[in-house]
Amino acid sequence: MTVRCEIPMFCIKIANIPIGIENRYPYVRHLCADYETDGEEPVFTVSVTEEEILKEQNGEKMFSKGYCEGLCIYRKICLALIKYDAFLMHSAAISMDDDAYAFTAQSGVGKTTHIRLWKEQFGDRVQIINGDKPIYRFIEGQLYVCGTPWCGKECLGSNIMRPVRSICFLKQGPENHIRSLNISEVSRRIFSQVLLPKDQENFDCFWMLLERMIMSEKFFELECNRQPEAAILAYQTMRRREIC
Amino acid sequence: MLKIKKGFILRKLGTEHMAVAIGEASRNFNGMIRLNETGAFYWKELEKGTTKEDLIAKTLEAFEGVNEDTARQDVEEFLKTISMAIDDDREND
Repeated sequence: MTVRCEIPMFCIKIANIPIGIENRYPYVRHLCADYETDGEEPVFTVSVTEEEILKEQNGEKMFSKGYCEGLCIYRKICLALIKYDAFLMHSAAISMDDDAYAFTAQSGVGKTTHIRLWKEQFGDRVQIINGDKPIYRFIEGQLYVCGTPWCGKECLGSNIMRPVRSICFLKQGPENHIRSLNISEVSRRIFSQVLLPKDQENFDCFWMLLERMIMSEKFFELECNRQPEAAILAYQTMRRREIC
Repeated sequence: MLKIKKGFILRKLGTEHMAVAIGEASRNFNGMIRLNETGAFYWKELEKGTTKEDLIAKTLEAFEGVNEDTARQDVEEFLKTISMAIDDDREND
Protein backbone atom coordinates (compact mmCIF):
# COMPACT_ATOMS: atom_id res chain seq x y z
CA MET A 1 0.00 0.00 0.00
CA THR A 2 1.26 3.41 -0.85
CA VAL A 3 1.05 5.93 1.92
CA ARG A 4 0.34 9.27 0.32
CA CYS A 5 1.45 12.27 2.34
CA GLU A 6 -1.32 14.28 3.90
CA ILE A 7 -0.27 17.57 2.46
CA PRO A 8 -3.28 19.17 0.77
CA MET A 9 -2.95 20.54 -2.72
CA PHE A 10 -4.61 23.27 -4.69
CA CYS A 11 -4.03 24.88 -8.05
CA ILE A 12 -3.50 28.52 -8.94
CA LYS A 13 -2.96 30.33 -12.20
CA ILE A 14 -0.26 32.96 -12.58
CA ALA A 15 0.67 34.48 -15.94
CA ASN A 16 -1.82 32.06 -17.48
CA ILE A 17 0.15 29.09 -16.18
CA PRO A 18 -1.59 26.57 -13.89
CA ILE A 19 0.60 25.76 -10.88
CA GLY A 20 0.01 23.19 -8.15
CA ILE A 21 0.82 24.11 -4.55
CA GLU A 22 1.20 21.62 -1.73
CA ASN A 23 0.97 23.69 1.41
CA ARG A 24 1.54 22.80 5.04
CA TYR A 25 -0.04 25.89 6.56
CA PRO A 26 -3.37 27.49 5.66
CA TYR A 27 -1.90 30.99 5.14
CA VAL A 28 -0.78 30.33 1.57
CA ARG A 29 -4.18 29.16 0.44
CA HIS A 30 -5.85 32.27 1.86
CA LEU A 31 -3.24 34.42 0.17
CA CYS A 32 -3.88 32.72 -3.16
CA ALA A 33 -7.69 32.82 -2.98
CA ASP A 34 -8.11 35.15 -5.99
CA TYR A 35 -5.81 33.00 -8.13
CA GLU A 36 -7.24 29.55 -7.51
CA THR A 37 -8.35 27.60 -10.52
CA ASP A 38 -10.31 24.36 -10.86
CA GLY A 39 -10.12 21.54 -13.30
CA GLU A 40 -6.82 22.45 -14.85
CA GLU A 41 -3.80 20.21 -14.81
CA PRO A 42 -0.87 22.04 -13.16
CA VAL A 43 2.21 22.23 -15.38
CA PHE A 44 4.32 21.86 -12.24
CA THR A 45 3.76 21.57 -8.50
CA VAL A 46 5.74 23.15 -5.70
CA SER A 47 6.05 22.25 -2.05
CA VAL A 48 8.47 23.14 0.69
CA THR A 49 9.82 21.19 3.62
CA GLU A 50 9.47 22.15 7.25
CA GLU A 51 13.24 22.61 7.22
CA GLU A 52 13.08 25.14 4.42
CA ILE A 53 10.38 27.05 6.29
CA LEU A 54 12.50 27.20 9.45
CA LYS A 55 15.47 28.34 7.43
CA GLU A 56 13.37 31.12 5.90
CA GLN A 57 12.15 32.11 9.37
CA ASN A 58 15.79 32.35 10.39
CA GLY A 59 15.13 32.04 14.11
CA GLU A 60 12.88 35.09 14.15
CA LYS A 61 9.38 34.53 15.41
CA MET A 62 8.26 37.82 13.94
CA PHE A 63 7.04 36.06 10.81
CA SER A 64 4.68 33.11 11.05
CA LYS A 65 5.59 29.76 9.55
CA GLY A 66 2.71 30.15 7.14
CA TYR A 67 4.08 33.46 5.89
CA CYS A 68 7.56 32.00 5.53
CA GLU A 69 6.15 29.00 3.71
CA GLY A 70 4.52 31.44 1.30
CA LEU A 71 7.86 33.12 0.59
CA CYS A 72 9.58 29.78 -0.04
CA ILE A 73 6.78 28.64 -2.30
CA TYR A 74 6.85 31.84 -4.32
CA ARG A 75 10.60 31.65 -4.81
CA LYS A 76 10.23 28.11 -6.12
CA ILE A 77 7.38 29.13 -8.39
CA CYS A 78 9.40 32.02 -9.83
CA LEU A 79 12.37 29.80 -10.58
CA ALA A 80 10.18 27.09 -12.14
CA LEU A 81 8.39 29.68 -14.31
CA ILE A 82 11.60 30.51 -16.16
CA LYS A 83 11.05 27.47 -18.39
CA TYR A 84 7.79 29.10 -19.47
CA ASP A 85 9.43 32.39 -20.47
CA ALA A 86 8.32 34.00 -17.22
CA PHE A 87 10.32 35.52 -14.38
CA LEU A 88 10.10 37.70 -11.29
CA MET A 89 11.26 41.29 -11.29
CA HIS A 90 11.14 43.32 -8.11
CA SER A 91 8.94 46.20 -9.25
CA ALA A 92 5.56 47.90 -9.00
CA ALA A 93 3.38 47.57 -12.07
CA ILE A 94 0.19 49.34 -12.99
CA SER A 95 -2.27 49.18 -15.82
CA MET A 96 -3.31 52.48 -17.40
CA ASP A 97 -5.82 52.33 -20.26
CA ASP A 98 -4.97 48.61 -20.52
CA ASP A 99 -1.23 49.03 -21.00
CA ALA A 100 1.27 48.26 -18.26
CA TYR A 101 3.83 50.65 -16.81
CA ALA A 102 6.44 49.18 -14.50
CA PHE A 103 8.60 50.89 -11.90
CA THR A 104 11.60 49.31 -10.36
CA ALA A 105 13.94 50.39 -7.56
CA GLN A 106 15.41 49.06 -4.36
CA SER A 107 13.01 48.79 -1.44
CA GLY A 108 12.42 52.13 0.24
CA VAL A 109 12.91 54.35 -2.80
CA GLY A 110 9.19 54.90 -3.23
CA LYS A 111 7.69 52.55 -5.81
CA THR A 112 4.45 52.31 -3.87
CA THR A 113 4.32 56.06 -3.30
CA HIS A 114 4.80 56.65 -7.00
CA ILE A 115 2.10 54.25 -8.20
CA ARG A 116 -0.27 55.80 -5.66
CA LEU A 117 0.39 59.15 -7.32
CA TRP A 118 -0.77 57.66 -10.62
CA LYS A 119 -3.89 56.34 -8.94
CA GLU A 120 -4.62 59.75 -7.41
CA GLN A 121 -3.93 61.55 -10.64
CA PHE A 122 -5.66 59.29 -13.14
CA GLY A 123 -8.30 57.59 -10.99
CA ASP A 124 -10.12 54.62 -12.47
CA ARG A 125 -7.99 54.55 -15.59
CA VAL A 126 -5.31 53.07 -13.34
CA GLN A 127 -5.35 49.60 -11.85
CA ILE A 128 -2.50 48.26 -9.75
CA ILE A 129 -1.25 44.96 -11.17
CA ASN A 130 1.23 44.25 -8.42
CA GLY A 131 2.92 46.53 -5.90
CA ASP A 132 6.10 44.57 -5.37
CA LYS A 133 6.70 41.21 -7.00
CA PRO A 134 4.97 40.79 -10.35
CA ILE A 135 5.78 38.13 -12.90
CA TYR A 136 6.87 39.14 -16.39
CA ARG A 137 6.19 36.78 -19.24
CA PHE A 138 6.92 36.78 -22.95
CA ILE A 139 3.97 35.52 -24.97
CA GLU A 140 4.36 35.47 -28.74
CA GLY A 141 7.02 38.15 -28.66
CA GLN A 142 5.14 40.52 -26.37
CA LEU A 143 6.20 41.08 -22.76
CA TYR A 144 3.33 40.99 -20.28
CA VAL A 145 3.31 41.85 -16.61
CA CYS A 146 1.08 39.66 -14.51
CA GLY A 147 -0.56 39.89 -11.12
CA THR A 148 0.39 37.37 -8.43
CA PRO A 149 -0.84 36.68 -4.88
CA TRP A 150 2.49 37.94 -3.58
CA CYS A 151 2.39 41.70 -3.84
CA GLY A 152 4.27 43.29 -0.97
CA LYS A 153 3.39 44.40 2.51
CA GLU A 154 0.67 46.79 1.31
CA CYS A 155 -1.05 43.94 -0.59
CA LEU A 156 -1.61 46.05 -3.69
CA GLY A 157 -2.46 43.98 -6.70
CA SER A 158 -5.01 42.33 -8.91
CA ASN A 159 -5.31 39.18 -10.95
CA ILE A 160 -4.78 40.70 -14.38
CA MET A 161 -2.07 40.73 -17.04
CA ARG A 162 -1.23 43.58 -19.40
CA PRO A 163 1.27 44.20 -22.19
CA VAL A 164 4.26 46.23 -21.00
CA ARG A 165 4.48 49.72 -22.50
CA SER A 166 7.72 50.68 -20.75
CA ILE A 167 9.80 50.15 -17.64
CA CYS A 168 11.21 52.85 -15.40
CA PHE A 169 13.92 52.91 -12.76
CA LEU A 170 12.96 55.24 -9.92
CA LYS A 171 15.22 57.57 -8.03
CA GLN A 172 14.30 60.10 -5.36
CA GLY A 173 15.02 63.70 -6.17
CA PRO A 174 13.91 67.22 -5.32
CA GLU A 175 12.60 67.79 -8.83
CA ASN A 176 11.00 65.65 -11.50
CA HIS A 177 13.18 64.62 -14.38
CA ILE A 178 12.94 61.68 -16.76
CA ARG A 179 15.33 60.37 -19.41
CA SER A 180 15.59 57.22 -21.47
CA LEU A 181 18.31 54.70 -20.64
CA ASN A 182 20.58 52.97 -23.09
CA ILE A 183 21.22 49.23 -23.07
CA SER A 184 24.39 49.47 -21.06
CA GLU A 185 22.73 51.61 -18.37
CA VAL A 186 19.85 49.15 -18.15
CA SER A 187 22.16 46.12 -17.94
CA ARG A 188 23.94 47.61 -14.95
CA ARG A 189 20.77 48.53 -13.10
CA ILE A 190 18.51 45.55 -13.77
CA PHE A 191 20.66 42.95 -12.13
CA SER A 192 19.78 43.71 -8.52
CA GLN A 193 16.04 43.64 -9.26
CA VAL A 194 15.78 40.04 -10.38
CA LEU A 195 15.97 36.61 -8.77
CA LEU A 196 18.90 34.67 -10.19
CA PRO A 197 18.60 30.91 -10.58
CA LYS A 198 21.47 28.97 -9.12
CA ASP A 199 21.58 26.03 -11.47
CA GLN A 200 23.27 26.27 -14.84
CA GLU A 201 20.36 25.26 -17.10
CA ASN A 202 17.83 27.56 -15.50
CA PHE A 203 20.43 30.31 -15.29
CA ASP A 204 21.07 30.19 -19.03
CA CYS A 205 17.33 30.29 -19.77
CA PHE A 206 16.90 33.20 -17.42
CA TRP A 207 19.80 35.11 -18.89
CA MET A 208 18.25 34.84 -22.35
CA LEU A 209 14.96 36.23 -21.03
CA LEU A 210 16.76 39.09 -19.34
CA GLU A 211 18.65 39.91 -22.49
CA ARG A 212 15.47 39.70 -24.54
CA MET A 213 13.73 42.12 -22.20
CA ILE A 214 16.60 44.57 -22.29
CA MET A 215 16.74 44.51 -26.06
CA SER A 216 12.99 44.70 -26.69
CA GLU A 217 11.64 47.09 -24.06
CA LYS A 218 11.91 50.83 -23.53
CA PHE A 219 13.58 51.84 -20.29
CA PHE A 220 13.64 55.15 -18.46
CA GLU A 221 15.05 56.64 -15.31
CA LEU A 222 12.74 58.92 -13.38
CA GLU A 223 14.09 61.15 -10.70
CA CYS A 224 11.02 62.28 -8.83
CA ASN A 225 9.42 63.81 -5.78
CA ARG A 226 6.00 63.05 -4.30
CA GLN A 227 4.06 65.66 -6.23
CA PRO A 228 1.37 64.71 -8.77
CA GLU A 229 3.56 66.21 -11.53
CA ALA A 230 5.84 63.18 -11.14
CA ALA A 231 3.06 60.86 -12.35
CA ILE A 232 2.08 63.19 -15.18
CA LEU A 233 5.65 63.50 -16.44
CA ALA A 234 6.17 59.74 -16.19
CA TYR A 235 2.96 58.96 -18.06
CA GLN A 236 3.51 61.50 -20.82
CA THR A 237 7.02 60.18 -21.47
CA MET A 238 6.53 56.47 -20.89
CA ARG A 239 3.46 56.16 -23.10
CA ARG A 240 5.23 57.33 -26.26
CA ARG A 241 5.68 54.61 -28.83
CA GLU A 242 8.93 56.04 -30.07
CA ILE A 243 11.65 57.74 -28.11
CA CYS A 244 12.18 61.24 -29.44
CA MET B 1 48.42 28.00 -11.67
CA LEU B 2 45.49 30.39 -11.43
CA LYS B 3 42.05 29.29 -12.52
CA ILE B 4 38.48 30.55 -12.23
CA LYS B 5 36.68 28.59 -9.53
CA LYS B 6 34.00 26.13 -10.52
CA GLY B 7 30.59 27.78 -10.50
CA PHE B 8 31.74 31.25 -11.55
CA ILE B 9 30.51 32.13 -15.00
CA LEU B 10 31.07 35.06 -17.31
CA ARG B 11 28.11 36.39 -19.27
CA LYS B 12 27.34 39.35 -21.44
CA LEU B 13 24.17 41.30 -20.84
CA GLY B 14 23.59 43.86 -23.55
CA THR B 15 26.97 45.49 -23.74
CA GLU B 16 28.14 44.64 -20.23
CA HIS B 17 30.34 41.77 -19.13
CA MET B 18 29.27 40.30 -15.82
CA ALA B 19 30.44 37.37 -13.75
CA VAL B 20 28.20 35.60 -11.28
CA ALA B 21 28.30 32.47 -9.15
CA ILE B 22 25.92 29.55 -9.53
CA GLY B 23 25.58 26.20 -7.77
CA GLU B 24 27.82 25.58 -4.76
CA ALA B 25 29.86 28.71 -5.43
CA SER B 26 26.77 30.89 -4.94
CA ARG B 27 26.67 29.94 -1.26
CA ASN B 28 29.74 32.02 -0.66
CA PHE B 29 29.32 34.66 -3.30
CA ASN B 30 25.95 36.16 -4.02
CA GLY B 31 26.85 39.25 -5.99
CA MET B 32 27.92 40.18 -9.46
CA ILE B 33 31.32 41.20 -10.77
CA ARG B 34 31.23 43.79 -13.52
CA LEU B 35 34.07 43.60 -15.99
CA ASN B 36 35.29 45.87 -18.73
CA GLU B 37 36.71 44.52 -22.00
CA THR B 38 40.17 44.00 -20.49
CA GLY B 39 38.66 42.33 -17.43
CA ALA B 40 36.67 39.97 -19.64
CA PHE B 41 39.85 39.17 -21.55
CA TYR B 42 41.71 38.33 -18.32
CA TRP B 43 38.74 36.28 -17.12
CA LYS B 44 38.66 34.15 -20.28
CA GLU B 45 42.39 33.45 -19.92
CA LEU B 46 41.80 32.49 -16.29
CA GLU B 47 39.01 30.14 -17.30
CA LYS B 48 41.56 28.18 -19.30
CA GLY B 49 44.06 28.36 -16.44
CA THR B 50 47.10 30.59 -16.48
CA THR B 51 49.79 32.16 -14.32
CA LYS B 52 50.32 35.77 -13.39
CA GLU B 53 53.40 36.01 -15.62
CA ASP B 54 51.49 34.47 -18.51
CA LEU B 55 48.69 36.92 -18.06
CA ILE B 56 51.12 39.83 -18.13
CA ALA B 57 52.76 38.48 -21.27
CA LYS B 58 49.39 38.04 -22.95
CA THR B 59 48.41 41.57 -22.01
CA LEU B 60 51.55 42.94 -23.66
CA GLU B 61 50.74 40.88 -26.73
CA ALA B 62 47.09 41.87 -26.94
CA PHE B 63 47.24 45.55 -26.10
CA GLU B 64 49.67 47.56 -28.14
CA GLY B 65 51.61 50.34 -26.47
CA VAL B 66 51.27 49.00 -22.92
CA ASN B 67 54.54 48.73 -21.01
CA GLU B 68 55.36 45.88 -18.69
CA ASP B 69 55.01 47.85 -15.47
CA THR B 70 51.53 49.01 -16.34
CA ALA B 71 50.51 45.52 -17.43
CA ARG B 72 51.85 44.03 -14.20
CA GLN B 73 50.06 46.57 -12.09
CA ASP B 74 46.84 46.07 -14.03
CA VAL B 75 46.96 42.28 -13.77
CA GLU B 76 47.78 42.34 -10.05
CA GLU B 77 44.97 44.73 -9.33
CA PHE B 78 42.55 42.63 -11.34
CA LEU B 79 43.56 39.40 -9.59
CA LYS B 80 43.04 41.08 -6.24
CA THR B 81 39.59 42.35 -7.22
CA ILE B 82 38.34 38.94 -8.31
CA SER B 83 40.24 36.88 -5.73
CA MET B 84 36.99 35.32 -4.51
CA ALA B 85 36.56 33.71 -7.92
CA ILE B 86 40.08 32.31 -8.30
CA ASP B 87 41.58 28.99 -7.32
CA ASP B 88 45.26 29.45 -6.65
CA ASP B 89 47.10 26.17 -6.98
CA ARG B 90 50.71 27.15 -6.65
CA GLU B 91 52.06 23.60 -6.54
CA ASN B 92 51.52 23.35 -10.27
CA ASP B 93 53.13 26.69 -10.98
